[in-house]
Amino acid sequence: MSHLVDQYLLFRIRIKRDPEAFGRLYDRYVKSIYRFVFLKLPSREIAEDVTSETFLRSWQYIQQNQRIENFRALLYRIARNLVADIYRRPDTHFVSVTFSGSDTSTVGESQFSDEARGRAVMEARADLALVLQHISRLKEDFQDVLTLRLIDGLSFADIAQVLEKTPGNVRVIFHRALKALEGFKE
Amino acid sequence: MNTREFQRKIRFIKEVEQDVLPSSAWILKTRETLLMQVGNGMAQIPPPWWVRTREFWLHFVPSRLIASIRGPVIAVFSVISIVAGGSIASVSAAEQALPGDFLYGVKLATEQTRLVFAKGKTEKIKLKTDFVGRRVEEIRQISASDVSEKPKRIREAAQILKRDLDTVKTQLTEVSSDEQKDVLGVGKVTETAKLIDQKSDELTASLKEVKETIPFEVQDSVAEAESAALATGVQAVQVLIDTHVHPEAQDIVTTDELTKSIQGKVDGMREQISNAVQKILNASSSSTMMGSLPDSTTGTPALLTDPFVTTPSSSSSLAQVKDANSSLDQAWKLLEESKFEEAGDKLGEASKAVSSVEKTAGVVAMNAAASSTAAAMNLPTPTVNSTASGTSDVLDSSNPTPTSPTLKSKASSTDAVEAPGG
Repeated sequence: MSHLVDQYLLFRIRIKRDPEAFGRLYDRYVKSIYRFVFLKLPSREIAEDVTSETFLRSWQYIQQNQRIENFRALLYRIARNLVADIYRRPDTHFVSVTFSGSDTSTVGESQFSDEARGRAVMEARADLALVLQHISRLKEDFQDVLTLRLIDGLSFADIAQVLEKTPGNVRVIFHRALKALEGFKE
Repeated sequence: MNTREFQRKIRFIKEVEQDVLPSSAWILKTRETLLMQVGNGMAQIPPPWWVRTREFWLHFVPSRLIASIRGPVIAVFSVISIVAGGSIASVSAAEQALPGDFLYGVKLATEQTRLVFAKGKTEKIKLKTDFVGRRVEEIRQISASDVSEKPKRIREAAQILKRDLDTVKTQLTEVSSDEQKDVLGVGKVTETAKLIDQKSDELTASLKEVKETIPFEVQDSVAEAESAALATGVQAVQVLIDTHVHPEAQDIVTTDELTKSIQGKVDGMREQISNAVQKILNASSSSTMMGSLPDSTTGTPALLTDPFVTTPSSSSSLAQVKDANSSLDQAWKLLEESKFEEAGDKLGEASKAVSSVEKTAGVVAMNAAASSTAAAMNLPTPTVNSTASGTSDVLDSSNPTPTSPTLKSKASSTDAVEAPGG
């Protein structure tokens, strides 16, 4: 159903020339894309920049009239590439990962208190680094599928779109990657 | 980092990630900026009618949708056409089909159709678990009947069973991390895990019985399936442990239930080790050693510790048995201290160790059987090699004649592909 809503909004953008339709796509995915990049990047500001850049690039993609089967997966693919680009830049030096009180903000209820949330974010970033280090021994394909599935919680169909493979292939890679992980000696 | 720690970290990362949100002010400001750029870049003239038609087709009739419904439609059509072709008998005949029979493919296709139409991941897993039970029954039926090519059929059935058990185990892992967001989700997952826990005990017991009745040369494949059933049961127990420690779900899995499940697994594994050791001793007694039953408290046969009778093959087996028993002892101790999470980790380690012991026992037994046959026929002694880890020491050191022919067998399938729709 969600997929049909996206297709309808893309149709409105391309045929009805309705900019508000793009606004609605933004509303649907801004929080999930922000979450997707937040822990992978060292600060809130960089996460915000990457999120807005993701949507800007998706707009450029729409303008090129390319076929978009899965808009959500497209956003994740763009965001993932942007995060990778940041780390690839030769001038990128994250000397220290500091946490400031404004580094997170939530609306509504949270299971963490403000102080606990800050600590939780730092711990989660550190855990993410350890997890990525742990799986870095695997092949690149395995690493990609594992992170997208286990950490980012994407469906096999979305992962297939992000990595430009078939869903069946992604499933097989995922199961092989899990087996390979189980085989790691401690 | 062991597997359980890895899973815990993943769960924590996901919890924290779910809690992260951008500021409302930033969301609004960015939206305005983006829409300004979109408005400036957007063409004002509407596209021609043929572009509108093409876009409608591309957006609302995606090829993937057709591809995704094609499978179930064909499967349902196949089943309906078999029935409509006056073949109600065919469908019920398919239900009775065994591996190797012509209609066995129809039986599996019918099961796949049912899986496709099952609602929800937990329902699919429950249905898959039922089908796994059917596989065991098929092995039992083949063993009790006079069908042709019995060993080949049993091996095929055991391989399908092992593959399906691995699928259930993987799906349970996925669903337990996907659906534990609220009490309802936790409840569904727990019910599924309890069912799998119970079913795995039944399957392990059934497979143990069946193993006694089947030809020797296929006992290893059934033993592998037994290990897979055990590993799936251990995974189910680990899911129950995770539920028990979940802050909102303390009443869904009580301490007593959990203790009973863990105890059951520990006892089951001790029995498996004991049987495997007896197999090794029986095999060895046909060459130089006399067998003895394992010590009931440690599970390690006294004779295997006698330095005058240990051979390189048995010392490797001994190391594996010791590892397995050590993990089980630690799991038991942690259970007594109510440290359920650590006990679950140890159970996982023990399950892998027990699987290695079983594989080694199978290889040693087959080597012994091959030696006896060769000796009786005055032939050079063949040796069974295994590609499974942990067994190469056993094989190389027990084969003193490098020029002997070797029979290669795969002890485990590492390239199993998940069944579609499962």
